[in-house]
Formats: sequence, C-alpha cells, structure tokens
Amino acid sequence: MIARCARCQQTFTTEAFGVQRCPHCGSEIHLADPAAPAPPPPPGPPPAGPPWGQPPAPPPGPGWGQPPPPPPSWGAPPPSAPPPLQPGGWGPVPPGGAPPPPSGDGESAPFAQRPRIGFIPAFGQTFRLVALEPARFFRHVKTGESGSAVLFGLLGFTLGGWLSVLFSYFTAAASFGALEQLLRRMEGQGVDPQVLGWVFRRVTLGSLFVQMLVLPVFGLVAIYLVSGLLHLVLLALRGAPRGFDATVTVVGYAFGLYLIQGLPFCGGVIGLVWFAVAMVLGLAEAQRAPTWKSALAVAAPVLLGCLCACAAGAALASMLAAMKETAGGTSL
Amino acid sequence: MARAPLRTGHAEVFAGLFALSWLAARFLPLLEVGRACPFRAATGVPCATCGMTRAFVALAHGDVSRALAASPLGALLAAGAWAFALAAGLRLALGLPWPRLGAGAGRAAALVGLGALLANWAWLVVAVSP
Repeated sequence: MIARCARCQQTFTTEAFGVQRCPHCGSEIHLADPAAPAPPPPPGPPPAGPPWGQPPAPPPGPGWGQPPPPPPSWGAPPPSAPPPLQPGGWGPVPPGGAPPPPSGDGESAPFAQRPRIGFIPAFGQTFRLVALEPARFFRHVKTGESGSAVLFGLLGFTLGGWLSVLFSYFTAAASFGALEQLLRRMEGQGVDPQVLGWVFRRVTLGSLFVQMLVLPVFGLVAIYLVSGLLHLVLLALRGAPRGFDATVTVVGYAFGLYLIQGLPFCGGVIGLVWFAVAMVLGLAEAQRAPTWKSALAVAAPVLLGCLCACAAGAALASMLAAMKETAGGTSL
Repeated sequence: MARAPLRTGHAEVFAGLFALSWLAARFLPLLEVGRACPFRAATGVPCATCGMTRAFVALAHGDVSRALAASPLGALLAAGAWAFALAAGLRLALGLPWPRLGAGAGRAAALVGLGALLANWAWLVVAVSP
C-alpha cells in the first residue's frame, strides 16, 4: 500500500494501518483501516458544515492510499497543516517518475468539476496544471469533456484579450495625451488640438468596444479552426488514434494559456510560445502519439509556408537563370 | 414510439461557424478592410490562403467565376462549408443521423486536403504572382 505523508507530501510503502511514522520527515500520521468500523463521533460541538452551501469534500484521487485531510475551517490553518489534496487526483506527482497513462477515459480536469470545486478555484487549478505540468495533465485528462475545455480556452483567451486591449487603450490614450500637448503648442498655427484629440479618443474607444465584443466569437472560431487544422495534419500522420475530442480538449485547455497575453508589453509573445509548447506536449500525450508528430502538426503551417516559399524561390531562380540564358543566346 | 434525442456536438459547432462565415462574407464589408498578406509582403509570393477572403465574399454574392479566379480552393472550401452547414441544419430538422465514415476516410480527406492546398498554392504562385 502506498501512503502519503500529510506533512511533507512524500509517499512511502507500508503494509500496516494505524499510526505510522513517515520515513522522510519523521512525523506521525494515522492511516485509517478501510475495513475497520467507523469510529464514534468525537464529543463536543458538531463540526461546521461546508461554507456557502458547498457539497462535502470529494473522495481522494485514485491510488494515493490516504484519506484526505479535513477541510479547513474559517480560521487560518495551523502552520503544520498539510496542503489539501486537489480533487480529482491532480495532486503533486509522487516521487519515482510519472505514472503511465490511465487505461480508462482518464480523470476529469478540475475545470470540468467546477460545480463541485467552485468556478474560480477550478479555473486556477486547471490553469496551473496546463501551464506548469502540461504533459502530466494531458496524459490523464478525460477527453470526453471537450465542452469544458472549449469553455476554459474561451475564457482564458477572452480575458487575456480584454486585458491586452484595455492596456493598449490606456497606453494609446497616454500617447494621444502627449500628442495633444504637442499640438497645443502649435495652436497658433491654426491647429485645433481639442478636435484631433476628440477624434483619436472616439476612434480608439469605438475600436476598443468592437474588439471586446468580437473577442469571444473570435476565440471560439480560433479554437475550432486550429483544432480542425491540427487534427487534419495528425490524421495525415496517423497521429490521432483518440479522435477529434482529444484534439479539441488539448487545443481548448491550451488556449486558456492566452490569459497570459493580458500581461503588459510581452504577454502576447510569452502566451504564444507557452501555448505552442503546451500544444506539442499535450497533443503527444492526449493522442498517445510520438512527440515529433505533434510537433510537426503544430509547426505544419509554418513549415508549409517555408517549404512553399523555398520552392517558389527556387522556381523563380531557375526561371530567371533560364531567361538569362535565353537572352544571352539571342544576343549571340 | 418516442424518437431518441438528437445528439449535437462538434459537427454542429462547425456548422454554426460555417453559417457565420456566410453571414460575414455576405453582409460585412470584409474587402474594405485594408489588410495586406505579410507573407506576400515579405517574399513577394502569395501565401497558400491568399485570395480566400475574396473567394468567400464573391461566392457569397453569387459570383462563382470571380470566386474561382481569386482562389479555387477558397471557392471550393466556401461551397463545401456552406453545404455542410445546410446539411447539418437539415439533419437537425429532420432528425437524421450523420453518415458513418470508415476509419481511413479522415486520413484520406486530410491527404486530399493537403494536396489541394499545395496545388492551389502552386496555382496562385504561377497565375497570380506578377
């Protein structure tokens, strides 16, 4: 039986239930015997129910061999309290390497369990898994819940896009302010700085609203378009044994990383690179395909462009050489 | 006998997006938005998808020859996408199932699509490039 220490989160093998000592940190932990009768309730005031009408804590993830710690109460947790395991078995990786892919459908992503976990914690947990542990996440995630993946991607893309657009608007407004000041100095030469500034602001504000309205639609179109294109390339490479659902799941969750584009200045570039890396790792894991196939699928549009540009360049060069030769022959 | 509820999924989302593309091509002033192809600007050669917007807009206005001239693959894609959207709408209305495709059909379609894309690109490079 594998048990996990509630203090240091390390795992160890044991054959007995009851009080154990963690071989890693030496702390005492209690392993409940599942066959033993339930202990009588402790005396004293009954424990408070879950706040805000939430359902009770979920059962622990498969294979961890330890009951979950009690849910935190209203106060701050004691300093020695272990971090609670994430629902759905998405806790930290036990030492000894990543486990093999699940044989069944896999596990629901935290975002797919949002009615139970809560919307924002589910979004945050999923974002952390996709961003920091994409290979593990996509190896284990259930591909039959692509609706949640699309919603996650749509939210991340839209929120990131809105932040980016807002930042652009405010920096543009600052630029226009500087321009207005410059024009004010030229007021004597017949330039009206007020009118120009009003026009600039109106155009920018209008485009801001249009962009913010269009972004969710654009996100949905992009998720499905990218999924379709990638899936076609994967099909051509025989790299999509788990079907379109797996591709949409990967693309949807990876699109959520575009939330990073809300970071000022370099968020767009970081988001794009992170997205590409998550896609390569995620497609390989979710489709159970070699990484080179997923990398080729993600890079296919760029590679195709380069290939055709090179082919066109070569054709143009040979055409020019032939024309030069012909012209030389004629002149002789 | 009660009819089993119709399942909707990715195919219907694609159909909705295709229908949206027809609306956009038909009613939005897409060609008036001055956009240059960055690939063409950098290399002087049209990219594989150059002319697609013009093909979609022309076909949405019923001008088949102009659509084919702008991009043959774009015209075919537009026609196929809108036919698919129509078929999905009819399927939902009549309660019919989607035809079942064989295991190799997807791969064959992908390879045909890739070939068509390359052929279209070659045509654009030869016919459209100055």
